[in-house]
Amino acid sequence: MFVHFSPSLKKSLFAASCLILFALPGALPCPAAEYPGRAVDVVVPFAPGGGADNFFRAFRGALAKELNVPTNIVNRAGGGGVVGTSFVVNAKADGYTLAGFELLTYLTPQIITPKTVPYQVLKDLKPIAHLAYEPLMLVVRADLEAKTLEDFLAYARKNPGKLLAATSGLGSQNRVDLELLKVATGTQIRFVSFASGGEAMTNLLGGHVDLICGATVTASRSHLKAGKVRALAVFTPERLAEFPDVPTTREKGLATVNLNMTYGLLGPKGLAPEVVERVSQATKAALTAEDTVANLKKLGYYVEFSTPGQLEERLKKDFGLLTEVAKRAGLIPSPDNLKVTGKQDK
Amino acid sequence: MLDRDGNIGIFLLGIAALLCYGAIELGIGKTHDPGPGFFPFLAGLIIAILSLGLIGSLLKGRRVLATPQGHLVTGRAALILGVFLLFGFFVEKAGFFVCTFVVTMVLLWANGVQKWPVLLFAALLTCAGIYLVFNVLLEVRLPLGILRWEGN
Amino acid sequence: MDLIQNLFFGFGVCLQPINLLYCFLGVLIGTLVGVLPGIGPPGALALLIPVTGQIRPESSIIMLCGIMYGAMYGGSTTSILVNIPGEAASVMTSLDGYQMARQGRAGPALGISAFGSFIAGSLSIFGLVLFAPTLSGFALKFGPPEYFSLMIFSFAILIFVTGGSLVKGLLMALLGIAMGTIGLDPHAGVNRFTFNQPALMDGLGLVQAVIGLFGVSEILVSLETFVQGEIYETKVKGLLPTRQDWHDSLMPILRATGIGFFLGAIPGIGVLIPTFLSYGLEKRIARDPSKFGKGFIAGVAAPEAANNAAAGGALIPMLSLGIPTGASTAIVLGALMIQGIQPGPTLITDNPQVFWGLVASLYIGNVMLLALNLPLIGLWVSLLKIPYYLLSVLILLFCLIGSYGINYAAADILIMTIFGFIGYIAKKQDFELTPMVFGLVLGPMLENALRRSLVISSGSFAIFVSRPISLVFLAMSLSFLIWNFFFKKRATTMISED
Repeated sequence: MFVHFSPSLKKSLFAASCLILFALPGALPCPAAEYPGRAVDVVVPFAPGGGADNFFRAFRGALAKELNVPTNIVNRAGGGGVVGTSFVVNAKADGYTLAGFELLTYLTPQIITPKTVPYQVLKDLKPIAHLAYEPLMLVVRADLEAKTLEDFLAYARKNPGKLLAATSGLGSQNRVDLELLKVATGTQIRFVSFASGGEAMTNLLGGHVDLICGATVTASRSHLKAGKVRALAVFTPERLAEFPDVPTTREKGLATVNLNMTYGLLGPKGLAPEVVERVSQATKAALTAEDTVANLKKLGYYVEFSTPGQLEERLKKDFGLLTEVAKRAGLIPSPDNLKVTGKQDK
Repeated sequence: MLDRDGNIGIFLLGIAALLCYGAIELGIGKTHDPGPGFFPFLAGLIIAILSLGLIGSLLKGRRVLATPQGHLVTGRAALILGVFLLFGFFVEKAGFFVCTFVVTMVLLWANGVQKWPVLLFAALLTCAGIYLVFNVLLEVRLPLGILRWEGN
Repeated sequence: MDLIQNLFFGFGVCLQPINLLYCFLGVLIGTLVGVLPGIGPPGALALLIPVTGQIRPESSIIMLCGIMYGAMYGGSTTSILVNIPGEAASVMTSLDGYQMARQGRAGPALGISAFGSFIAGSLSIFGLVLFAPTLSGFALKFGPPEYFSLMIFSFAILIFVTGGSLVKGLLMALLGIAMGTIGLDPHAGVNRFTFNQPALMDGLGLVQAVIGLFGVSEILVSLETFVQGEIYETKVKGLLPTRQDWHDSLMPILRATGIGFFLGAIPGIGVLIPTFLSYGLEKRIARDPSKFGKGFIAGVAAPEAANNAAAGGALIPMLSLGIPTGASTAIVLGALMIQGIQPGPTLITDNPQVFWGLVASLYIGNVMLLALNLPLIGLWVSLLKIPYYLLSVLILLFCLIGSYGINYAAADILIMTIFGFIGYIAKKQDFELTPMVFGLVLGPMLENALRRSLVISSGSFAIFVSRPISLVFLAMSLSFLIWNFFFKKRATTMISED
């Protein structure tokens, strides 16, 4: 078949080519100097707008300032965090690609659905820094009869299998904290899975479920203030200044129910020690800057810095803890296939 | 063999069978406590019934059996789909631009552009344009694959 | 009255030159982003959040909402011009819109799309202001059983809207449902049909599927029959909707606005259902349903109005409850929170300038979209004059980059290609594509709703009829099906995609 270039087509093509060829030289990048010599990417394995993403975006500016280079948030969502994390596992270990992570979502896939995780959480990524945590609370719907934690537990003990909790997925914080609560108190509480914390909260507000064992303060704040939900306990070591009437699980003898959203940074396995040190220092400086702390606090994040070594220890410890919890809750699959019982206690 | 629709029906019957098999593997559960395989199994079942219906209407002679000309999948369509698949397989290894370059040339050639210089130039132009828009304007990092050089 | 005063206040905030500028920027970026498939509003919003950190809350929200609306309109543009829906919201638009473009009526299609979106957007803003509290309370009553019944109702409508061979339509729908099960099953923690590929754990992905199913297949099929001028009618028949067009579109727009707005307020409903239901309604009550699918302007006006109204409605749960209803609202929410603003019942009282500035900016954003896009119609139409052998290559590259751009995953390209193949075969053998999209989107929603409801009711099916809203939808579905099959001759003409 015939193809012919009409005169006007030729002219437009020519113009376009000129434009592109002239713009090109200015766009080519130049080689790097010492670390960090160019922009650093922090890969967040979740979609924009999610809790983890919000945190890293809030933190990004401070980190960029300390590293002295542009720092970008790159979202690679998928597989509950597995896709983005694998991306960093396979990235070049030059320090320009780091992984932002949330502790529970980082560790639990390997425990619960190991076949879907193409890396080893304790080996294939190098811990760099623990950054902050976001407190989680036990919230119940306002018209639930139980008004305090004690009442709630008493009710749960008297009516096994009656209470219904909303969770945001298999390995989610609110599921794990629920299991921890059940183990610590010997109660039987059913759960239903939703796709996100937001959906869980919507259903709680609508009265379709009774509680969320692990809602973020940010998600609950306005509803608490409006009286639509009630907070019975908070999982941090100390009471929150914002909600001084809410007891901590620790003071009520439930110290094991203490998992909050924890954020940190990891890097590819072969990262040079100097690079790790540099980033660690930068995060420390960023986290101690007064305005950063105040800013993050305003958004509901409590900064807590750890060195790479401390973070590594923490990861190991929590991995063991979570494996225990998963076993007790019946979440660990049998070795030869992926069938999971996840049976509800009735 | 049956006509095209009939063949499709047979193919879908096969798919339905695989689906049901996979669903049973996953565990169907009970009606009041459905397992992960419940929905896929149901879907497979209905697909099987519908496929039989599709084939059945042929046998009942209710449809006009005018077979259209030519193959169902033309050479050009296969080529385009094929080159897309190759793009997907190689984009992370050979780099985005190399692949786009090749794909642009193949597509234009498939559409009748015969002269090599034109193919090469058009492909180059396209790649340069994409580079400008994505890497520069939007600061999006497209994988460079074999084009990777120091500092990038 | 307080409301008027607040609105004036809001306009005062919004009409400040700097905010007008941000609004314009947002709308511009949004349109560009909407036209590029794959990089949807979430991508653009995410890119810009760092920027918003530097500017005042009202301004950043104004800009972000501009992006959201702009992206929706951009998505409709590609939907109409080249049959590649920019996102789920524009899938229904492509049915008639693309046909109109091929008949040389791309201008009126784009025009009615812009105007329809504008009308719907403006009306839904009033709805937002007037009904937000009551509507959000109502929306909360939708728990899993209600969702289930709503999905069943949607399927009932699907059966009607599917013209041609019912068997083929249902096959596509069920294949879509089956494909929708691919991925991690959150209830039981098992991966279904993923063959241990992390990329498949979240399912196939709607955008890449739609790009392949509609876009790639369309090109493949067109290339087989093209002679220049046959794909797109080269004599362009006017750039704006005619009086007749308006006559045909006005009531559909209004009805669609209502449907879109109320359904959009239900968290998690998304935009496909409102656009689909409004399309279905119009086809049902039209004097001549066979016109739908062949380039009937109401088939463009209704879905477009519905999706804008739904976006407006979707803001209700976001603003009054702080609950995001989708990716875009989640990001706007995130941006608000980074600014230290907490959406929720207290938003109106704590940050009135943000709330009312937002409301006013939605309106102004709509005006700007209109102003921006109407002149562009001429540009788009002239783009269609590019010789098809070049245009098709550009479009295919577009699809390739777009599908890769979603998440920079090579797997998405493979998914797009596979769907392209499916769409290609489907088009040649008269299988309709819309049911498949329907199945892909609604299948998971239906299943989740079913399983969650059964957990809540501890296994009893009575929950679906004991709850009033659920009962109503089920009853509607049943009566609709009965009416359809026994009393009315089903529409026998096909909705052709080709």
